Amino acid sequence: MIAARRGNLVTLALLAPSLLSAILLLVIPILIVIAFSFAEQDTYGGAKFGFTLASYRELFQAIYLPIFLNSLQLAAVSTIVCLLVGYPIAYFIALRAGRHAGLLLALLLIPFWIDFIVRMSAWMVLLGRNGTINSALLGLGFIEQPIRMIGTYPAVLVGMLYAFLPTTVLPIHAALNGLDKRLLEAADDLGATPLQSFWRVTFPLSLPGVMAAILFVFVPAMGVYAIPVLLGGGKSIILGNLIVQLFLDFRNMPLGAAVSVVLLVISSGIIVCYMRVLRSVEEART
Amino acid sequence: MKNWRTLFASVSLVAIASGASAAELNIYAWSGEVPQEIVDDFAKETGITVTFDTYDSNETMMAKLSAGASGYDLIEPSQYTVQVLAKQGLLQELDHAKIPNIGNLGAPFKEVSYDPGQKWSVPYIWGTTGFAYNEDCVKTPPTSWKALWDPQYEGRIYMLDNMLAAYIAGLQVNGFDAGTTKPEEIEKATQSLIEQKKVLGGYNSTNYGDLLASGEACIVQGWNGSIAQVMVTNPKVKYVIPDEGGSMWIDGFAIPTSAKNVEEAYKFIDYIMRPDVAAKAADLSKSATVIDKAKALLPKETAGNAAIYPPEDKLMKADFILDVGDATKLYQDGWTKVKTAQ
Repeated sequence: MIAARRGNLVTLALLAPSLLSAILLLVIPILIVIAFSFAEQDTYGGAKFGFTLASYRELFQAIYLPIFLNSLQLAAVSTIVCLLVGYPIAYFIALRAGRHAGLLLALLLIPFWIDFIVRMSAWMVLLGRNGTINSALLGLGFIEQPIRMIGTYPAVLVGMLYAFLPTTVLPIHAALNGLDKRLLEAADDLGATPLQSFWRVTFPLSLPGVMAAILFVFVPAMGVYAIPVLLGGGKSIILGNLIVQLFLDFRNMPLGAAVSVVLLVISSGIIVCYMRVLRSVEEART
Repeated sequence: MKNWRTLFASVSLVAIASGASAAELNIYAWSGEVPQEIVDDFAKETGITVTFDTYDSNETMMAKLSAGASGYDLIEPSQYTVQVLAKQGLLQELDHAKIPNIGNLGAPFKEVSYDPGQKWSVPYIWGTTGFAYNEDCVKTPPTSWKALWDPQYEGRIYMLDNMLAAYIAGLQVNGFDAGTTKPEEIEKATQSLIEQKKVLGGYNSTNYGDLLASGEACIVQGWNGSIAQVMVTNPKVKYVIPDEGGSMWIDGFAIPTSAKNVEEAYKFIDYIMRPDVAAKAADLSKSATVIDKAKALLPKETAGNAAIYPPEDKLMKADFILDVGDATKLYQDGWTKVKTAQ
């Protein structure tokens, strides 16, 4: 009894630093945001604490709907693009690269030592009218006029792919890396073609990784701020941009906070769904 | 042992000494308007340690101030912003006795409509909102906002990423006054700005000068100072105050209620109103000075640059945006519609 209590105390003491920082840096800020979302707004940008649903009521007006749809759409398309590009990379690194796997993974991660905005600015240089890609294509005679890339939707997707590729590759790689190779040999022995053994053995076993990748791309993609501005010319705003606009341009903290809360609810919803699906996948397997 | 003690004593002495004499000043100003050199000169002359941050919209600065904790001693709001901040009680009333150089203000800036008696702010520089083009791409010199709707420049037109600035073009292209409070006029302007999106490369209020100079953009809406800065390196960039009027603005210095280093803030205001300093600041930032005696000290190419000092008749036609009060909401809803339109 005493030993158990002491054990609990030790656990608590060991957890205290992380618990404390989680409360200070995560729980309290979120509570502040939630409190602001119920505050009242005056014309001059002051927020009066109180309890009103005015911000939420305003949020569900027609003008904000396109932003929600835009964000979901961009997040969905980015996720699909990331999976289509990331899966083959993860597959290659995990199952084909052999002793070079470590090097390839490192190469994938090294750019992330550089600041995000600097990397995005590099894309602006690459995709610009007088940029590297246009100069190369012009020089090789493939095009006569520079192609306009900055300020277009594909440029935004390129930025999203670049930003989220490692978070797609890593969980899929982890799932594939743990794959029992004997299963593939067994499939081979039983006469499965390579394609069959991929669809019936490799792919199902990599699903937890794929789902983690979807989660890691879809959720943060909705809150992305810089990519639509820098590469998309700020013409198609998503939730991340709306929050900035409401806080900084419109000085409407309650409404900005309400959008943040809604974003939080959507993200949490997706995470809950993910946990459910993951559990059923694992139960089906056992 | 003795050595350790001496070391400790001297370290704490240094700490105490630097703690006592460390006069500080935290400035928060428009990017590109207060040159770093001026800040450094001031720090050297006075021994005050200056922290210098910049913003690229009045709204961002106001958001930080109204959010409470700001830590700034000196800000540089535009005219309508002075009104809003004063109404919110976020500015200190200025003590003119602490700004002896206030007498150097040019005649038009001694009495300003947005701040009678210069109670809350003193003008620093002024300028215009218009547009600029790159001659490599735009062959016939445009004179109207309509050029920013011209499909032949599709994808190479940029608008300021700033609600009130974008609406200057949206309203004036329809023949309305910038800064109107009439709902139907704002609505019409919103429609024009939505229509414009088809030909836009994007919204940008940070590096639009570079976009234009590099040829990424053909034509950009802009503030004259930023354009004049890139004109120095690329003479093919031209600045235009549109026939519809454009707008004139005045940016000045004000001291927030929350300021802790008020004396230092006054010192800086007074310093930058000294004719030689004002001239240097105006020349480096390529902006128009409000100090008459400073204008006389400017190099010819700056004083004679029509992008910086436009002809009188152009200025007479320019709108001067004041606080739009409750109409702010109409602009904001309109701007959200513009930003979300596909």
